Amino acid sequence: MVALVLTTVASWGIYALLGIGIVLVYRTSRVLNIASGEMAIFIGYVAATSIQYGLPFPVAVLFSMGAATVLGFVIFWFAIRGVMGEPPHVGLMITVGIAVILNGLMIVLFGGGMIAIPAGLPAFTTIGQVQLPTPDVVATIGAWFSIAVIAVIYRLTNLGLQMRAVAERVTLSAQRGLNVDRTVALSWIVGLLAAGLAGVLHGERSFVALSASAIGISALISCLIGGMDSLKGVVIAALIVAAAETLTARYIDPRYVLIAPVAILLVILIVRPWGLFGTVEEIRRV
Amino acid sequence: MSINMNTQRIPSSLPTSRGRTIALRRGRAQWLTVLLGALALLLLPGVASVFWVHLANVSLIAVIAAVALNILTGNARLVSLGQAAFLGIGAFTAGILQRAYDVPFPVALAAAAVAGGIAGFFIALLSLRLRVLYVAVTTLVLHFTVTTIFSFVQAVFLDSSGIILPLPSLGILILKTPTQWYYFLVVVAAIVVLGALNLLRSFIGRRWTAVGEHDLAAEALGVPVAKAKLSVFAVTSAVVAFAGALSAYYVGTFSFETYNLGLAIAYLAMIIVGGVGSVLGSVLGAVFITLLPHVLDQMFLLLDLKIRANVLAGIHQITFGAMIVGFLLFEPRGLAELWRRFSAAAADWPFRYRSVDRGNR
Amino acid sequence: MTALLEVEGLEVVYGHVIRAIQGISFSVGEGKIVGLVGLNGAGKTTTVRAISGFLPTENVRITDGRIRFAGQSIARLRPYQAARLGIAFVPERDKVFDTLTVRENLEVALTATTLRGDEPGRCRRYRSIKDILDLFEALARRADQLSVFLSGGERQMLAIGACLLTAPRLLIVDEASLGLAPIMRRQVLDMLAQLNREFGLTVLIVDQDVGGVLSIADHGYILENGRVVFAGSREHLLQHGDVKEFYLGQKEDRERGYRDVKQYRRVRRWH
Repeated sequence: MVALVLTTVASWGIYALLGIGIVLVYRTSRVLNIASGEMAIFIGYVAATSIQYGLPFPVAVLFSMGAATVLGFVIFWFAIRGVMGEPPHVGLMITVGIAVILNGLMIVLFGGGMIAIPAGLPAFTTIGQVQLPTPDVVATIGAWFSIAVIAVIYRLTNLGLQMRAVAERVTLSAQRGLNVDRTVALSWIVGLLAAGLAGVLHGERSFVALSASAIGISALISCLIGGMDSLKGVVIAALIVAAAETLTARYIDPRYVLIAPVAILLVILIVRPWGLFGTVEEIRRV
Repeated sequence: MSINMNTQRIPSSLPTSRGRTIALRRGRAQWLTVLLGALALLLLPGVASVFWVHLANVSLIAVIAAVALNILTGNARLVSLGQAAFLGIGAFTAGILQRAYDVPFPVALAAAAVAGGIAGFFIALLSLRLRVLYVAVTTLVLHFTVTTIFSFVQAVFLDSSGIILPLPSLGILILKTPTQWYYFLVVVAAIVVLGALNLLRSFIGRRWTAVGEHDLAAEALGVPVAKAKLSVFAVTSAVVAFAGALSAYYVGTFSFETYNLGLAIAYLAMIIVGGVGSVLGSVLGAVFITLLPHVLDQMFLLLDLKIRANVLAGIHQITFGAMIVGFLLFEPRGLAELWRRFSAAAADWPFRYRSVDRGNR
Repeated sequence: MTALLEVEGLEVVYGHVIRAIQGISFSVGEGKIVGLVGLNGAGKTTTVRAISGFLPTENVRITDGRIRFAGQSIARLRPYQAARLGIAFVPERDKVFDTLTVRENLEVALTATTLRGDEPGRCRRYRSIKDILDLFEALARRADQLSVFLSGGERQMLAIGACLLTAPRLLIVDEASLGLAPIMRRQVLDMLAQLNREFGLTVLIVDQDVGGVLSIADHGYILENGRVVFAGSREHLLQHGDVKEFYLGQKEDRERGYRDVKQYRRVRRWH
């Protein structure tokens, strides 16, 4: 029972982290990132491979975060910058293209097989009388710590303020002296860092593989349930999705994991298409 | 008599009537292209090897489905990631009917189209209140739901390794060899392409395009937006499901694994590379994307590079993705636009500009 | 007195077809208030968008002419670069961030210009959010509310306040009076005049209200159909018979109806 709860909490953290990345870049650049799962697993592969080359776990994580920064900038500069301000379906299709490219790169560069990301810690952590699987504990702590950091950046720092300003009015932001391209680039980098960390933590819990990019779908569903313009909504919706998936896997069949969140999303789309915490205007824009 | 001559001569130098304006734009070059194209299509099985005829057949099926998807995504601007699901709906409907009731081939195809239409109608109903991005995600959700159901159905009621279909027959004609299929598919694809061209010029097609451009503005102009969205989804999904059933019969077997997200993305790549919102683009894109992996393979064979099969799959994907991103960024109107520019230049060759009074020089 | 902003022979073409601006020249002297006035479609907004660097992004091209700010050509600058040179801009619409609080709105202006230069002539009177809240008491009361709840007048104050925080050298106000009651309009104009008097802030006002603008401006330019049709000092314009009659609505001894006014403008447009 405790393990089940911990599994849910760990998945919750990973989906929330990934979802926050999607919402962040969606708000500043109005591009719905379908490729977040592929981005996450790509960075996960970077970490896994660097561990295979002998780097210790923390260094490998740092190295993969460096890769995420570079990848975020490259994606923004060479693909997203050209389609900002275009109709929304163009940005969406661009990220579909990015997803396919990343998938191919994972095969060519990393072989595309299943690789674990061992943290090099004992299998179980004992807290009081309870024995907990360490990978889930690490994933939970890592994910929630990063979510807290991103929330603080977004709410309390100048960078966060600039991102919120650009998210609302691009023109006015520029008139006030904000370098909009720079702010959007930074938001993509933060989004990639969030996605990459989610991928690494997912790999640390189980393994990275091509099929693991399905976590991006779960995160996307979380974003839509929560509402595309609300960080709080994504975090809460991620819990719903994680719980639904864990329960389906435990009591029905692990093969049909995605059905439960999909069913919830369908209900939400029918009764409240703008999401639990989204604003009604948002749906007019997209 | 001389007066009459005069009146004949003046307009010949200027495009004063609609007919002449069209004649200026569509010269003999176009008819020549159409004729040559038709001839090439008819003679292809005579000159090409069986493998290339097979590829042509796969391309023709892709053309049918891509034309429909392009109307949905390019004209009505409803981005669909559910293409694989609709193809699968067609295949499974036809296959199950064939297996359970041994229905004739044409009936199975019709049933597939109806099933696809109904599924499309319900998805449209669901996404009626939503705009572009949400429609994309709804179709993505449909994709996962449907493929999960397929895997369940296949594992429980059918063979989990794949379902084998009998050779289809059209009355006395049995479709057996690739060449027989080829002529059948050429006719079907031609009907679909001409149908699409005519539909888009009718009031129905214009409504769909109007809704795609700006649904609020269309509504203000009196276009029944809900009806248009429902009909475009139902009609195009029916055609896609029809193509799915055709494809299942052509391959002779089908399995849920075929209908993965990669297939949906390949179709998206077809319409982007070909030209979003253009029927010609759908045709070019479908052929291009179907042939691309094989052309790449041939190229590697020629270069004598030993590449493992899974790495080759990776390279295919990278090329696909690069095509999607590249065309969106640099040539959003796709191959159709490149073709238009090329044929315009070819028609005027060897001159750089078209003469307005071409009759006189 | 050297000119801070100089526009020479500016020509702007929309979508390769429409020449919205057909050779406008004007200059804004350091420490002056200059009015750019005209009816809808005269080209006022296009002109100021050209100055603040927004045209290249929208299928609009500057086909001719020069724009110089403090001796430097700025026609090719990106919008935020123009802002960082000290050109503060109060747009016609969308002038505040609705989803941010009043305080955050001011913070955006403050953070964006942390790189503000030390050129002479930049108005440095207002350095902190508190300075602005002291200046506008109405804003101080609502400092932590979302700015979507502000009234039209308060939004205008907030927008001007945010501009003051960027250490402006030139303040451009597009349609200062749009949607404001006459008394508020007067207040905004008086405030601009006061800022100019006390801190030597250079102001370019773009407006339809010829009378209002000329009451505080040192110089005025009247635009029609993308051309300057009248230019001169306030006194000159206020004394000019045609301006009085056709833009200020004051009737001299001559009796002319609405049709005559239209006809006059039509002739005037094409010189």
